[in-house]
Amino acid sequence: MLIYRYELKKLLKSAAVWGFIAVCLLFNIIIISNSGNAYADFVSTVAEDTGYILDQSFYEKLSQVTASDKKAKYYLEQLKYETDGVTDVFEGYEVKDIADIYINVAGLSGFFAKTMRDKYTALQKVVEEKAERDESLTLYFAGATHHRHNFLFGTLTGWLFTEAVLVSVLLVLLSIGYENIHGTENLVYSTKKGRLVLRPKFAASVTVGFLAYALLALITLVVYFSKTEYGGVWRSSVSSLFNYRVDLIAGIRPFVTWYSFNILTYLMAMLAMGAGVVLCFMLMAFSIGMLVRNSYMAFLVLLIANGVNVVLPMQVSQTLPIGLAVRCFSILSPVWLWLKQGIWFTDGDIDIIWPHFEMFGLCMSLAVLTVLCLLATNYFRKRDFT
Amino acid sequence: MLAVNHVTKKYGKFVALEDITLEFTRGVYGLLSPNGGGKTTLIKMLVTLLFPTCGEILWEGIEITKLGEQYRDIIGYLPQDFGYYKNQTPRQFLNYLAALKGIDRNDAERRATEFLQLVSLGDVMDKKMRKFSGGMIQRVGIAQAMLNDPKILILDEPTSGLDPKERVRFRNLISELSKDRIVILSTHIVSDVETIANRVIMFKDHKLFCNDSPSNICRTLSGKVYETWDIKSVTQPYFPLTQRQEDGRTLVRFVCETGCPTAARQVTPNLEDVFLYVYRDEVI
Repeated sequence: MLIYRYELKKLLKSAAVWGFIAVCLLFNIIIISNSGNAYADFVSTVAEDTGYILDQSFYEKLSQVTASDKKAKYYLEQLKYETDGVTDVFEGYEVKDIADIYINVAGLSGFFAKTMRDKYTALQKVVEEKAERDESLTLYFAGATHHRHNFLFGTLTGWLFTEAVLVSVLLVLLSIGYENIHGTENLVYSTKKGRLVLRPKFAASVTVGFLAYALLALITLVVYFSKTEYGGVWRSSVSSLFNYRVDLIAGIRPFVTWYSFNILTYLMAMLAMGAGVVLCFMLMAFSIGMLVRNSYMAFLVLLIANGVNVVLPMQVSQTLPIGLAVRCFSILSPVWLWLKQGIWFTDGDIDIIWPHFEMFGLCMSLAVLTVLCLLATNYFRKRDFT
Repeated sequence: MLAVNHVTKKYGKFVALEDITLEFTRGVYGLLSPNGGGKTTLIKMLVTLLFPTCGEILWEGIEITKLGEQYRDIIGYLPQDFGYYKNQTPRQFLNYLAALKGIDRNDAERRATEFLQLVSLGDVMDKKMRKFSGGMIQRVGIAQAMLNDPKILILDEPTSGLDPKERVRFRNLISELSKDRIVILSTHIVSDVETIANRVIMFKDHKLFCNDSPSNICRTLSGKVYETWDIKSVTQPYFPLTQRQEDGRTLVRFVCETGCPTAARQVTPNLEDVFLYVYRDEVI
């Protein structure tokens, strides 16, 4: 515990880490300041009076809303127009066709085609349940939904996860490479604790990594939610009829999630999943850091490894089962999970044959990376320090 | 007892040490060889930073890698390139290393103070090491090596960076410490070894060349070391050791294997003579 505290102190005293976090926060604040949408704020404010469920009560209350100025009047008319006569998008919605399109375009066959088909068979049941619950009949941000949803759950959380991954990877590499940087390897690894000092080092870097993630998320989201209005729509379903996905292959389609999420629970789920991805990258950095002595080189190796992971599936021939396997399984890797962050908890896209791909990928990645860490630790324990 | 049994260390095809067998009991052991001779390789194997390619190193009959923490608990080590955290004070640095050595926090604080005072750093123990001289850093290194009261104290080039006064103080300190422990120190500064080592271990061509007391080692050149003011008059093959200027003349010290040259005076060999002779490149 004492060593853990010393290792924690080393990381917390790193000016580079604090500097990087400050730059990230500044960047986030800049993109937040350019994300304003007055109509979305108006909808949210109105929803405080009307409620977010598009039922009879909503329309009655909406008709009683009065506009104070010209702009508000325009927005109110727009809201009335957008919500007038809406129907449940999940009623009679068939997702089977999406499977067929994906299978044909991706050239899937055998196991891969069957898995894709099974996924959409399972999703059909989810769609029917959503239809029963009238889940799509919630306001969200009406016509501004797509913009605001994509900003929060695409752009902002996307950057947040990227920053958290970078800072946590840097922390792990800094912690492992600290002795190399300061020329104290020989001294530290010949003490009683010896190479086992990596355990408290890893624990400390994971702690500070998650703290950095929490700090980034907290400040970024506090700034975002203080600048934008979510008051009346927090409990709106993210599968609202106003939300949709632009899929270049299957076309524009409803935003279907495997579970029923409102904005708040979806945000919580995204942040939790983000923490999982951050942990995966920390494990990856730990493994590489033990194999590559120099921290800068280790970071470069990590970038190259992930770059190869992104490029390789695109380069392997998709006509062979091995090519399809590479493509379908590489999607479960941390870098692809990070890239597909905008469609977590949904059915995914043409690249994804697995239901709940993010959870499956996270579990697979954690399992594989844990084994890699153990192997790397074993190698490190027997490594010569020349 | 610490025993090195037929240890060889290879890096690919390069043989750093070949078939080394040694035994260490209480006392000071000086490892002597030119740079790159294998001293640091042996030391790193003794502190488990390197692993022998073949052979074994035993402490009280058990292989040190099997003993792990138990073995490292009884060693104190000053590496050749002693790294430190520039932004920390010696006291903070020693407290951190004490934690790694498994020393209780309160005990660590007391020992850190005690050893820093012993190496005359008591008045700067709370100052950041950023501005410390090489000698001061080396003394921090010696203090940290002693922190866990080791049974085996291993010092790699401990006197480099020390001024003559500090070097003498260090020698006295080592003599004092060697009473109840094994002290292994590597150096290429012969005078350090000559004054304090009970045994001198020399490597040549990456093999063990000798392992004996300094006097016995010096005896190998007995009757072969000479000094002369007129080296040109020496007709036998000789190997020059040192030369000194005095009153505009040059006094040359040399080794001659083939009998006593008439123009030269026989002198008592010292360890430096042996060192220079053993590690000579060629005879003139």
